[in-house]
Amino acid sequence: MKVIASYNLKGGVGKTTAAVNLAYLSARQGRRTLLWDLDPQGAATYLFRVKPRVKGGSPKLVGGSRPMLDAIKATDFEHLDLLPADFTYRHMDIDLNERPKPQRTLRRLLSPLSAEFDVVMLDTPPSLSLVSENVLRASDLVLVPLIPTVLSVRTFEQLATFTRELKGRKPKLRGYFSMLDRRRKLHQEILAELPQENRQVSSIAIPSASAVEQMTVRREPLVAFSAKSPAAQAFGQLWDEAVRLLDLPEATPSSN
Amino acid sequence: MPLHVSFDPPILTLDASDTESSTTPAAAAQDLLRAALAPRFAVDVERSRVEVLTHLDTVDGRLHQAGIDLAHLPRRRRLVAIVAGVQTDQQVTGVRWPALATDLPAGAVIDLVRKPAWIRALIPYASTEADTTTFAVRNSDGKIVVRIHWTAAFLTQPASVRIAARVGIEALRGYRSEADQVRAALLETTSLVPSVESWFDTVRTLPALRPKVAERFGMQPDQAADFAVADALLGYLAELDATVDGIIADIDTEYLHDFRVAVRRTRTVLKLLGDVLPPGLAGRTAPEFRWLGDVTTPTRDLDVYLLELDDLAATVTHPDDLSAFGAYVRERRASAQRELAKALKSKRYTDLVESWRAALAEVIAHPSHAEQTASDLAVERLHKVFAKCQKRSRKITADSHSELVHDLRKACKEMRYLMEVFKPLCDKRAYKNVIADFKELQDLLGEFQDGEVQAAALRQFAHEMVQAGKVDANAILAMGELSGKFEARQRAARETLTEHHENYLGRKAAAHVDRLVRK
Ligand SMILES: Nc1ncnc2c1ncn2[C@@H]1O[C@H](COP(=O)(O)OP(=O)(O)O)[C@@H](O)[C@H]1O
Ligand SMILES: [Mg+2]
Repeated sequence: MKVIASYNLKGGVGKTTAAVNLAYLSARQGRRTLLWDLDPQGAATYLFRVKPRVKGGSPKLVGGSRPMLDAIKATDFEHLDLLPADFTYRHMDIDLNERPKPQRTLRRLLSPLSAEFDVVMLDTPPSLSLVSENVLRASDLVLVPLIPTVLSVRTFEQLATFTRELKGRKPKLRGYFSMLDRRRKLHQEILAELPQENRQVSSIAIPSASAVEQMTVRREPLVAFSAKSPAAQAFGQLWDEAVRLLDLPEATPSSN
Repeated sequence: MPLHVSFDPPILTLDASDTESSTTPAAAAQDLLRAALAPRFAVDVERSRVEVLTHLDTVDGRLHQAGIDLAHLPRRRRLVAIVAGVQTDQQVTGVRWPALATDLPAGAVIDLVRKPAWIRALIPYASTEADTTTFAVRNSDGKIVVRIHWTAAFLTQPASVRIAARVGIEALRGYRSEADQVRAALLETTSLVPSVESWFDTVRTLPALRPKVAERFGMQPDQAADFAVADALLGYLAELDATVDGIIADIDTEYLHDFRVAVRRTRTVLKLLGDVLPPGLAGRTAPEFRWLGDVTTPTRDLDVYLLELDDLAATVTHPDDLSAFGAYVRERRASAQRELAKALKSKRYTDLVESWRAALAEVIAHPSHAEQTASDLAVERLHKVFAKCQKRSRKITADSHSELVHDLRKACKEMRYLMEVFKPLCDKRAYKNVIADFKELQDLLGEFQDGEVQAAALRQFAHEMVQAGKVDANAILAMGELSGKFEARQRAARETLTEHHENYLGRKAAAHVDRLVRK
């Protein structure tokens, strides 16, 4: 089982959009996939039409008295399950803090799922908190959407430093461009230069597109309803890259 | 990756008559589901697929007895076995049914069925076509919470029949209570009824799959003696009818075995009870059945060799030395089988069977032994043959000629067959006792006979192979080693035999025979 996080400490940069589409692609290739919506706002949960509610909430889940498997819901798509968001996730930091070795709790909670899932995707809330640290420590790969601005490039470098300085296990870190607008000169420049300068930044870019916004209207992954759109294709490339980075074993495509 | 060919017991099944009126079952099903589940749930077709299944088992249902359901999905080139609800799959290409499990490529499914199928071929007993429409059941958020798999199915072989539709409810993870609600709503408002029957059991119990058995009356104590005998003989004839095509097509070796048992039973009845039939009938018919026995012997003998060869090979010092022998026997067997098939397709055979059928029907229509009943006949003949066994047994000493042992063996066999004929009239306990006495004795006599026959046959084969220039010295040596083992078996059997006469055929056994049939 491999754990992938869609992470950026900023909001509105495309984390949820990526988590939902990449999880969908993983499942479509036949991998048993779980998407955990860690953001109390529940955007990913909403996109799969699931009620944003976990019985007992974060205290029970993080406290270990409610098994993760009991809280999981099937999505409408084969091999893709969802652990929904819950409003109590707002206080997950506090619940984590009460556990022994609070920074490694998430990783411990996930380990019993390895019999059931090949891939776990974490959609994360925008913050730099104990939850984020748990996410970084639990993940094998952290995908970071970058809007091509000077500021976001700086924050990525800060994150890279932070990850490098983690003690023990470190995830792979991979930045990619999100909401790229090719008509804007600055976007073009950053897209051309940054991957050259920073080996942790991919040259894959998810274009800004109105089709992506349609996801919230249709409540489906973009790749499910518009597989040919440039943004969907870009998510395909990003997923292929993730498969390579994680060295995931071959999977058999789903029959339907 | 599973194929999602699900044979799970459905939660509900629907009687076929309910959907028969509709020409578009999927549309009718959707209407029914929508009406039952609105307004709480919305129902839409998600997908549909057609599955073609060839249902397989041995002709005597060995897989079913072992709790295995087996099907070939030719379109998907897959074999599927279900044991205790667990599905196993194996890829297969280019198989033709019937086939012996031992001739099919090893794999998860074949490995499962090899042992229970034994030496019997896997034969299609039915073909079905299952047309499954999957409906998505959504809640008010438009989320799929349950899937309903509606299968309209048809039996396509051995007859074209519509099979009752099956409805399976799939609960999605985390939506168990919605599945229960759907189930309750369907039970309440539609004619669907719960069922735990598997798809295979549904097919197996279709009236179209019931074997057509010849009409028989079964033996009753006060039937006229000739009526009872003719009825029993008709039963053996039905056995010939049931196996002859399998022998000609060379499906597996058991068809011939069963055929020969029926022939032998017929011959024994003709010999021991034939006098109650119309004058001349038994005398005219016996030679024809003798011919049937003779014409089937070469193939059967060679079959037995081949079936035993692997076990035999394991007992000699250099098993590989027997491979030339095996090839030789296989060649001989193939040509014997061709001869046999020719005989069974001949006019002589069809004439025999048809005139025999007509003659027996005539006896049944006009029985003439009003004064002698079936039980009279049973008492008289069982005692007579038992006395014969005792007499022959007494003659045998440790060094008497093997002919005498064979005579005893024949008499014992007659007794066994006679008991089988009269079994419906027999007291159950007494029957069990006598059979137990005889079974052991016959096993012993069988050992003796096999030892002798096999040793002699091996000599014969060795000579033939040398003459045909087909063999080297090692093969002959290995065969000699085998032959020695057979002779030793024969000696051991005779020794046990002389020691235990009284046990098998003594006073206690006689008392059991007295209690077999009451007048
Ligand atoms: N490539 C894109 N093109 C256009 N709109 C996008 C794109 N990616 C995300 N969006 C939109 O931006 C908003 C924020 O995206 P989201 O994935 O929810 O970000 P985050 O999870 O980082 O907060 C959403 O309304 C989403 O539809
Ligand atoms: Mg988000």
